[in-house]
Amino acid sequence: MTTFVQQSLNGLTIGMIYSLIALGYSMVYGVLKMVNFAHGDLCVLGAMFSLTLLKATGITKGRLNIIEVPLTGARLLLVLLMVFLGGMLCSAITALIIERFVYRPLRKASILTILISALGVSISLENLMMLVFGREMKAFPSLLKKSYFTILGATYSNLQVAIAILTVILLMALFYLVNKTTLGRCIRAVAEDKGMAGLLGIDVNRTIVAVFALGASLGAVAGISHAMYYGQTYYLTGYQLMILGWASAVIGGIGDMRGCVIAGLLIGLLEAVGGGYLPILTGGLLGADYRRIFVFLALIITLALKPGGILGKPEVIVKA
Amino acid sequence: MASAISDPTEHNRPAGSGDDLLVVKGLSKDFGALRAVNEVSFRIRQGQIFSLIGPNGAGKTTTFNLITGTLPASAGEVSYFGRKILGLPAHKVADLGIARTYQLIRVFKNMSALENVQVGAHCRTKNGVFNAILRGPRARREEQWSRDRALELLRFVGIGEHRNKLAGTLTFGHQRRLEIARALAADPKLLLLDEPTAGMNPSEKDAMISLIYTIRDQGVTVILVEHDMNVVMGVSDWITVLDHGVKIAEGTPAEIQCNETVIEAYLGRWRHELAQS
Amino acid sequence: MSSYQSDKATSGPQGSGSNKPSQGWRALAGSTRLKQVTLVVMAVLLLALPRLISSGYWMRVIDIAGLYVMMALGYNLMFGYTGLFNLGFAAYFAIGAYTYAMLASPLHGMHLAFVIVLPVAVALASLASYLLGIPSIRLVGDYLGLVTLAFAEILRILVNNLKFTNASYGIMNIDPIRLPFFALRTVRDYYYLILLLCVAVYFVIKRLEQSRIGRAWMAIRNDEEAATTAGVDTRGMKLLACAIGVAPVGLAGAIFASMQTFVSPESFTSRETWLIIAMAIVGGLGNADGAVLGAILLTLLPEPLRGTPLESARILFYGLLLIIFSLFRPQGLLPRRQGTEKDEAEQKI
Repeated sequence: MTTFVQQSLNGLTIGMIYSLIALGYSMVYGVLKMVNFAHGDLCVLGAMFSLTLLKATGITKGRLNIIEVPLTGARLLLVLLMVFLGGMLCSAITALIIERFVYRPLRKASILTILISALGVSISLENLMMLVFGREMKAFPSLLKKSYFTILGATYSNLQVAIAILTVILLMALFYLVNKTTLGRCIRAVAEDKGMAGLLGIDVNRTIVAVFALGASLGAVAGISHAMYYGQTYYLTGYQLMILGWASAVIGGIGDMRGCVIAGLLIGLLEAVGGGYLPILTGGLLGADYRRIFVFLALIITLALKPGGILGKPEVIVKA
Repeated sequence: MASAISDPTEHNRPAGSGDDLLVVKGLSKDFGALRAVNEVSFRIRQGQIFSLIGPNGAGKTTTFNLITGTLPASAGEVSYFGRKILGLPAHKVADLGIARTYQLIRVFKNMSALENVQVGAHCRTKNGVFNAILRGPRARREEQWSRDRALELLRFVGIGEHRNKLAGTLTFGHQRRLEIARALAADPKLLLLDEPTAGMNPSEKDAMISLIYTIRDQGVTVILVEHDMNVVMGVSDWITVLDHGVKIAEGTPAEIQCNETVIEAYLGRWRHELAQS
Repeated sequence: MSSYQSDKATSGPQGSGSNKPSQGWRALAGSTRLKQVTLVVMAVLLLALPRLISSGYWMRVIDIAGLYVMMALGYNLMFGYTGLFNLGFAAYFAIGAYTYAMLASPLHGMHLAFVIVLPVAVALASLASYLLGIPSIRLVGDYLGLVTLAFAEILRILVNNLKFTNASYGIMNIDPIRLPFFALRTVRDYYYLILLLCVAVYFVIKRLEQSRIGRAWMAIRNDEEAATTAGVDTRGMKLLACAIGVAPVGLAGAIFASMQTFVSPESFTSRETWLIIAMAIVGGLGNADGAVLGAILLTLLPEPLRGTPLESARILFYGLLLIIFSLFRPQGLLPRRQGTEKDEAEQKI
C-alpha cells in the first residue's frame, strides 16, 4: 500500500509538470492549429539557460554544478526568481523569434509545409543547444535544501511540495488570464476563428505573439522543474517532453485546458505507478523502463477510440 | 410505409422511363440540436432532370451529402434501384452508379485534367499492385482504355485540349466541366450536380444547360441543385422545394412558379426584413 | 460503356496543351535522345564506381546513400504521393534490421539464408505498418504523425530492454549475405547488391506512381473526400500505402544489418526519421527522382564537414535545411511533374 501511495505522489508531481507542458503546447495549437514540435525543446532551453545563469553568477561551480553559496531566506528567493524568470525570458524570446521568422510567414501555407517547418525548428533548436551548451548530460541543482515529510507512510520531499504549489499557482493564474481578462478573450476569439477575430478588430498578430510567449514561459517553468526534480537536464530531453506533452494534450482533448491538466496528471500517474508495479506484476520480466510504453499505448488507444480526447471534440481530428 | 409528406401532384408527373431510380423516404439529418434535413421524401424516375431548390441553408447540399454517403443520416431510407444505400461507404455508393459534383469546385488541383478524369474511373477499373508493377498485356490494355476514355470525356465536356494542364491552373469554368467529366467517368446512372452554373455568365449557362441535356440524352438521370430560376425552370422535368430542411412543395416548373408557399419562402424573408426597417 | 459524342466544336488546334514557359529548353531537356544518352552514361558510371573509388570509407558512404535512397523513395510514397505523415519511419528500419539480425546470427542460433530472411524482414515491416494503420489511418495529419511517433518509441523501448533482442548490447556477428559462390563481405561487395535493390525499388515506385493505384493515392492527398465520392476506397488505399511505403525501409534495415554485422538500438533513433524526411522534402515531395536526389545530396554533402569543428553541426544542418526549404522552396529541388510526358508525345501525332 505504501508503494502505491508513494508512486502516486511521485506520479502526481511529475504529472503536474506534464500538465504545464501540455498547456503551453495546447495554447499554441489552439490559436495556430499547428503542432509546435519545438515546444519540448523550449522547455529544456529554459533549464539550460538558467543553469548558465547560475554558473555565471558564481552560485554553482564545477562540472557537477554544486552550489557554492548558502541559499536561505531572501537569497534563496532571489536565486529562484532569477532562475525561473531568466529561463522563462530566454524561452519566450526564442519562441517569439521562431514565430516571427518561421511560423508567421507560413501561416497561409499548406499544413504539410507547416509541419515540416516545425520539425526543422525542433531539430535546429535541439542541436543549437547541443552546440552552445554542450552535448553531455548536465547536473541541475535542486536549489532547495532537501527535507522530507511522511504522508500515509510515503516520503514526500519539499521540492515536490514546491513544484506542486508552483504548478497550482500557475494554473490558477492561467485560468484567470484566459477567462477573465481582455487578453484571454482575445486568445479565445483567435482560437475560435482567426479571420473573424481579425475582422472584429482584434490584433491577431499581437495575440499570437502573446500566446507564444506565454506558452514558452510555462514550458520553461516545466523544464526547470523537471530538471530540478530529476537532478539533470539534457539537450535531447526536449524530444521526450514534447511527446509526453503532446500526448497529454491529445488525450485530454486538444484546446481544452482542464483536459490538459487531467491528462497530464493521469499520464504522470500511469508512468509512476506503472513503473513501480511492473516488475512486481511481471515477476521481473519487464522492468520499470517499460513504463513509458503504457503511456504511448494509452495514447494510441485514445486516438483510435476517442480521437477528441477525454474532453475534446473529435471532428477536429478525424477525417473520412 | 407511407411517406411523411403526401404527394398530391404525383399524378401530374411527366413520364420518364417509368422505373423509380431513387426513392428517398423520411430522410433526416441532425447536427446536434439543429435538424438540417427534416423528413424529406421524394422519388426520381429514370431519364428525368430533377431539381432540388430552396433558399440558402435549406439543406440541399446536405441532402446530396446524405445520398452519396459522405454524411451519415440520422433517420430515413434511400433506395437506389430498390437497393437500400444509406449507411454504405461513399465509395461503394459511387461504385453503384451515383456520382456528384461540388458547389465549391473540388478537382484534384495537383493532377492533370486527364488524371482527374482517370481517377473518376477508379471503380470501373481493376489494375492492382501487381498489374501496376508488371504491366502485363491485360494491365496495359486497361491503362490504355482508361486514358482513351478520359480523353473522350474531356472532349465531351469541351476541354480536350487542356488534358495535360494541372487542374488547379484551369479557369473556373473549365474546372466545373472537369468535375463533370470526372463524375461521368464512373459511368453513373445518377448524377448529382451541385450549383453547376454558379458564377457563370448567360452564354456559359446556356452551354452548361446544353451539356446537361446531352448527359440526360445519354441515359444519365440528373439531380440539380440550382439557384438560377431561369435555368431551373427551363431544364427541369420535376422540382422539389426545400426550406429550412423541410419539403414545402413539389411539382412541374409551371406549378412551382405559381406556388404561394414557394414564393413566400424565397421572398417572404425579404419582405419581412423590409417591414422591420 | 456509353460513348460520348461531343456536341460542340471542341478544342482548337491540337497544340501541346501545357503552359510550359520556355519551350525551347524544355524541348531539349525532354527529348528522348538526350535522356537515353544520360541514362547510358549514368549506368556506366554507376557500374564502374567501385573501380573509380579507392577509399573504403567513401565506398561505405555511397552504400549508406543507397540505403537512404530506398528509404526516401518509401517515404515519398507514403507522404509525397498519399499525404500520410509518418514520424516514426526509423521503427521500420529497426524491424528490418533486427529481424535479419535475429534470424541470421549466433544470438538465437538461427542462420537462415538471406532469400528467406530478407522477404521475412520486409513482410514484418509492412505488416507492422499496416496493423498500426488500421486503428489510426483516419486521423488527420499531425495526429497520424503522433501515433507513428508513439509506435516508434514503443518499439525503441522494447528493443532496448528485451532480452529477446539482447537489449542495449545489440546483436553481433550477424551473418553476411551468402550467394551461391561467395559471401558479401566488403562494402564494395554490398555496393552492387544495394545498387540493384535501389534500381528495383525505383522501378517499382515509378510503376506504381503511373498507375491506377498511384493516381488514387495522389487523389487522396489532393482531396480525400472528393476521392471517396469519386469511387476510391480511400481507407483501403491508405492502408496499402502504409504497407508498401515501409517495405523498402525494412529492406534497407535488413541489408544494413548484414553489412554492418552489428546492430544496436542506437542505430535507430528519431534522427534517422528526421534525416529521411529532410531528404524527401529537399529532393522534392511527390517526385521519385527528387527522393533519389535528396537522399544522395544529403548523405554526401555533410561529409566534408567531418573532421572539422562543424562536424557535430550536421544534424543542425538538416534542421536548417527543412526550415529554409519550407519557407522558400516547399516543392523541393525537383517538384512534382505536370501531367504525363507520354501523353504529350502522343498528342503530337
